[in-house]
Amino acid sequence: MRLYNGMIIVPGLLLFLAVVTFPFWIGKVRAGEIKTFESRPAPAGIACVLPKKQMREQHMALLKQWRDQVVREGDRAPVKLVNGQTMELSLTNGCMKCHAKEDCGPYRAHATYCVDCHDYVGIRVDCWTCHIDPMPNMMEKK
Amino acid sequence: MMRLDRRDFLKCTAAGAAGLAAFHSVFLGRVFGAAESRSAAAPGQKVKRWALVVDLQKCIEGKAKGCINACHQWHNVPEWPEERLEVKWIWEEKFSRLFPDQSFAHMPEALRDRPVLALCNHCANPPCVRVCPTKATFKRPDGIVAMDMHRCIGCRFCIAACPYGARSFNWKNPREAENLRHHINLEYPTRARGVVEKCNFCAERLADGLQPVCVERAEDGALIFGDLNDPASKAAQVLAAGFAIRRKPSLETDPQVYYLISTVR
Ligand code: HEC
Ligand code: HEC
Ligand code: HEC
Repeated sequence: MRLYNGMIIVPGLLLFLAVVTFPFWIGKVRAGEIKTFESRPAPAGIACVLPKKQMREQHMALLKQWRDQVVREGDRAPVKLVNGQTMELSLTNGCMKCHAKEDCGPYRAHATYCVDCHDYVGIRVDCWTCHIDPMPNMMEKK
Repeated sequence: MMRLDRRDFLKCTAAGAAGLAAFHSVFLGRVFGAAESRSAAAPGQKVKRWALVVDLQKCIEGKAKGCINACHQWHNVPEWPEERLEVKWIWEEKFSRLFPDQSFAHMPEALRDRPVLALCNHCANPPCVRVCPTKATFKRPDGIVAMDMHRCIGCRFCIAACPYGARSFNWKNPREAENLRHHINLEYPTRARGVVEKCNFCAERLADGLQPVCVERAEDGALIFGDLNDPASKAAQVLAAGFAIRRKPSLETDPQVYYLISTVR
């Protein structure tokens, strides 16, 4: 059996396979560039609404539940933090008031911290078109 | 093989339905019960009916500006130089425009042309709520006609439905407006391009036990806010002792902003 035009077909097939499987391997190639979020120690004396792992997995669902609770049911009761303190039920004046503070350490800042991970997982959070980001660098962009 | 006659079939169906109902109330009740009980009013707590009374003797030209600015600053309402882009929660309009049914040729010109404060009437029978296709605008149990910005798709049916012109559309990104570029109130979100907005009776402040911004700012009690379901509230007492009118009552929207003309002696 003879393959005619093998010089074109074989590289062409390889190129085709590379393009088709692109989404599966590009992540692996780029994984080296991505900072891991595991290694950041919690700052002393400050705690989130839930333990870190749960927060990571559930913050999007929690925010939506609280959004409906506040806007549709008018229930603005403050939420308890892990360490027993309370937080105002608000994106800007609850979550961001703390996550934008100096003493939130590595968990500070929307622009560099929340966004790093959102970029990593490839989502764009549009909440900040309305909710105000208290970080000055974001305020300038407006 | 077992054969079902009609009677047995009906028995099985009934038993199945009863079982489903029991499952629903016992099991699902436990899952969703918490959410349901939260929205119900606490026992012993009467349902409120918020309303605003504008005293036309006291809320006179020049003074209303302060209330308007205070509200718009607090809620981050953008100011656009072009009139067609205007966004407003509370504004001034000639008496004859707000009350066409009460205006006539021989009335004092000073009254006919007098600027009067206007805002969302928080109707008990709101046409905007009826037309909203996404339930983004809805009536709360306390009477406030609220908006859920997260659901608004910008169709503007509500603008067409509102007979009071109380709703505005964001044609542009509000944060690009000159006033918001210089000063933003962190206590309240802005809106985005493509959503409708209007007065919310300061629902976020009422939750903290505060008065609406315009009422707090008004001088010598020109604006009176209160719960009309509570006969002891100032608003209920003022209305009970005076003569007040409402905008376009014949449309049967049952507005809850009252304009006090005089006190009955
Ligand atoms: C079109 C503008 C807009 C967008 C976009 C928006 N919000 Fe909101 N949000 C509001 C407004 C207005 C309120 C009402 C604030 C109040 O009554 O205090 C609110 C209230 C909330 C609240 C409760 C109170 C508060 O101040 O935080 C939560 C939680 C919330 N939104 C979450 C979100 C999330 C999560 C997103 C993104 C997925 C989002 N919102 C996007 C306008 C917006
Ligand atoms: C009082 C300060 C404080 C408040 C308020 C707060 N957080 Fe946190 N948050 C933290 C701290 C500290 C951590 C790290 C927790 C740990 O290591 O246990 C954290 C962790 C997180 C994480 C996980 C981070 C990761 O790298 O996996 C997310 C997501 C998060 N917060 C989102 C939110 C959201 C959304 C809100 C508002 C509902 C909020 N936080 C409110 C302090 C706060
Ligand atoms: C460790 C990774 C990680 C960190 C850190 C993180 N997020 Fe997220 N966030 C996610 C993921 C993953 C999603 C959701 C994706 C989905 O379900 O579509 C998400 C979704 C959201 C959403 C919902 C967006 C939408 O449109 O539905 C909001 C709001 C949000 N994050 C806020 C925050 C805030 C505020 C912080 C910082 C305090 C933060 N996140 C930090 C991973 C992270």
